[in-house]
Amino acid sequence: MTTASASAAMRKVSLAGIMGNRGALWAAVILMLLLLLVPVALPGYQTLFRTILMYVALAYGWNTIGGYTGYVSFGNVTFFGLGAYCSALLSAHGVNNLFADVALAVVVNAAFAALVGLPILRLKGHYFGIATLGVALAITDIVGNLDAFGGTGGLALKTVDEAHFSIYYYAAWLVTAGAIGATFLVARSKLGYAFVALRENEEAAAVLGIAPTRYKIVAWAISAAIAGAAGAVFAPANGFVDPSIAFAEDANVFPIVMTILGGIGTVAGPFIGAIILSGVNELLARWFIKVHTLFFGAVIVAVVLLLPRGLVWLFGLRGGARTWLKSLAAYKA
Amino acid sequence: MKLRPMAALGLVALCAALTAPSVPVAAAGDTIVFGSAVSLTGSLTKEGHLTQEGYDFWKSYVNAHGGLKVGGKSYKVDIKYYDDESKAATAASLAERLIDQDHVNFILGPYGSGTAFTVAQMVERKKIPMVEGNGAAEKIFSQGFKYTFAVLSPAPRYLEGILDVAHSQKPAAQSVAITAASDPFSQEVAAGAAAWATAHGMKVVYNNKYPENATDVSSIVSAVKAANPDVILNAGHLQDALLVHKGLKEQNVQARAYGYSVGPDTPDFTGSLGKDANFVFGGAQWSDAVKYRADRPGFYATAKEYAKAFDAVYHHRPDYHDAESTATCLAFQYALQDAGSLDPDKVRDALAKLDVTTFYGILKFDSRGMNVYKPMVTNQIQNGKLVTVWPRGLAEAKVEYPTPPWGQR
Repeated sequence: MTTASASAAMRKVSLAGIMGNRGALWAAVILMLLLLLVPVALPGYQTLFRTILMYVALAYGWNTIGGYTGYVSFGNVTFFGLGAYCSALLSAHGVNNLFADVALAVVVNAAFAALVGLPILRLKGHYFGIATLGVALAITDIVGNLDAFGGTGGLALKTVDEAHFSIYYYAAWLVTAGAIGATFLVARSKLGYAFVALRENEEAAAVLGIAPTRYKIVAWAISAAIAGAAGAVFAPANGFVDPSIAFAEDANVFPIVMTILGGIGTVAGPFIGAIILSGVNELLARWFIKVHTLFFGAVIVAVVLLLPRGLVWLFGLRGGARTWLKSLAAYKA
Repeated sequence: MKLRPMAALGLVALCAALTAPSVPVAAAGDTIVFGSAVSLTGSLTKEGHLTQEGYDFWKSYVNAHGGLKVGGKSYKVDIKYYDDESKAATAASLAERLIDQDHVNFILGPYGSGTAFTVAQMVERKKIPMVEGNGAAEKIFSQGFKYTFAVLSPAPRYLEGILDVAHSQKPAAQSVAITAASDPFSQEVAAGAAAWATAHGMKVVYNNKYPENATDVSSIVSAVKAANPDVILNAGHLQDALLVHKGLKEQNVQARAYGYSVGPDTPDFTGSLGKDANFVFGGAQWSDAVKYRADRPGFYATAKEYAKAFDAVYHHRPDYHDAESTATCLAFQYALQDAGSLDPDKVRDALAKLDVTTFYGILKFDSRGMNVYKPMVTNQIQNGKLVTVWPRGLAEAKVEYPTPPWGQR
């Protein structure tokens, strides 16, 4: 196979990319169904897998704005944190209901994203990224200085007892399934095509009648609603929220790395990436208890070098290792 | 070589490895297994390592002396560790695994109040007792938890001794500036110090917080300089203490006394600051100058004996993190003997009733699970050496006060 035909194969994948590779999508669906069994089959790993589900949802939230629309946000943890605080504040006022938590978080975060998006979604590229980072840092500090939010001392939430604790797991599963479903539907709809059109060429899209700011705000609001819902189900299970937990660096960075590992701007990518990265992180922590973060860093570097377009791209490649090497060379050329 | 089957195979292998039982531990049989998620990486790494030293030192002692006798049977002890990366959410997930997957008998606490809080919630649900020696925030103990006990004095006490020292010297310190990291522990420490100062007629001329894990505190230091206090206090952890003290030197901020909640006690403080560390005060849960004598056999009876044996193993003087971690294990040791059983609920009840004096001081818990019966000590670094200067009955040396200008220390 020549380099030319390898890059032709890649083009084919990238056109199919809006849906993601079909095999990868099926793998994600089957894994997702298997994850339903965790509370029964592996009770001691419930919190671990609930955390993985949380990252999957966050990765889907990020993929909507960063993958489909191409606006790379470094501030999606803002919505995760505000979602967590929605639950904490409801609990502080005597409301302990997961549906209420998620509903409030979705509404608050979509509205907040739209409001903040109006000015900052007019920025492009690096400027947008830096502005989102600024929003995240500012909100962390504001929340830490508001007494109603418990300041830096945080807020405790009422949690259910051990016998009923798996409801938090199923709630996280539902939020994640919802995020995957929403991405699937959006990717097939006119909305999804508009997002991709904006990513590929904003001016051309505007000429075709796609109002850039309006669509970008919709994309960011969907992204925020998903992240907020993930935060809303995380907080009651954790039982305690303070700014360092709600606006944790991990919740900001991991979803981005996971999406890139799985395949940016695809339906199955974030799921595959989140599962594999969480799994690798977990195993390294177990095998190399004192230096695992070093190995984890090496894994991330290796991913960027060897799988620049993510695992979904690898699944989609027909042929063997030589095709992969050639495609890699073509991608870097 | 086809890529797709390989990738699929890899995915299956990963899932299998993930859910395979980790290193098997013998929870049953002749070993009592404790589990602990401590900070071996992240911002609290140094403190996490000291915690682990304190636990391991106790384990070696017990196993070398025929194990623990519980209900007429001798048990070896073992400790299963995980790394919580200095993150609260990770600590909770690890505690769950220790209890449900590794089937440990009991939990030894993590380092830090935030992590201790989330682990406390986990053990409460699982009804497995935890004793901890490194999470002093009172917030943990106002939730009505029944399975969490702390051997250390509450956070608001940390800096009181330093204020008492400076206030009773000549010329007496009249004003204080307090800087604090934003984590719950440091906030409680700062609030406690401010309350003490106000109650004793001292003026709090500056009291502000900065984000935890901050890497630059120069604006805070400038504000402290402008307030011109007699005493400068910082509520934080080792990294904060180093950062603030270096900043104070850089901007040449002169005060009569400098005090830190965590830092001066750890071996790294003097190592990193050299002569600038001299004259600095540190609040401490324990020092090897305390004069308690154990009223029950089974471990070193005095602080001096403990310190000597500890130094022989780890080649440094035990700091209070080491001692409070060892004391955490001692609480279990005596409660297990009292309970005469490994049953979690019986051990919990024995812990609630525990009243024993050890090399570390009194181990006794109030209805919330806090040890309010043990006083704190205040140390000062004099000529590169850490000595205890307060309370007076335990003083090893005279307080050096006021602090001379930077460059002459």
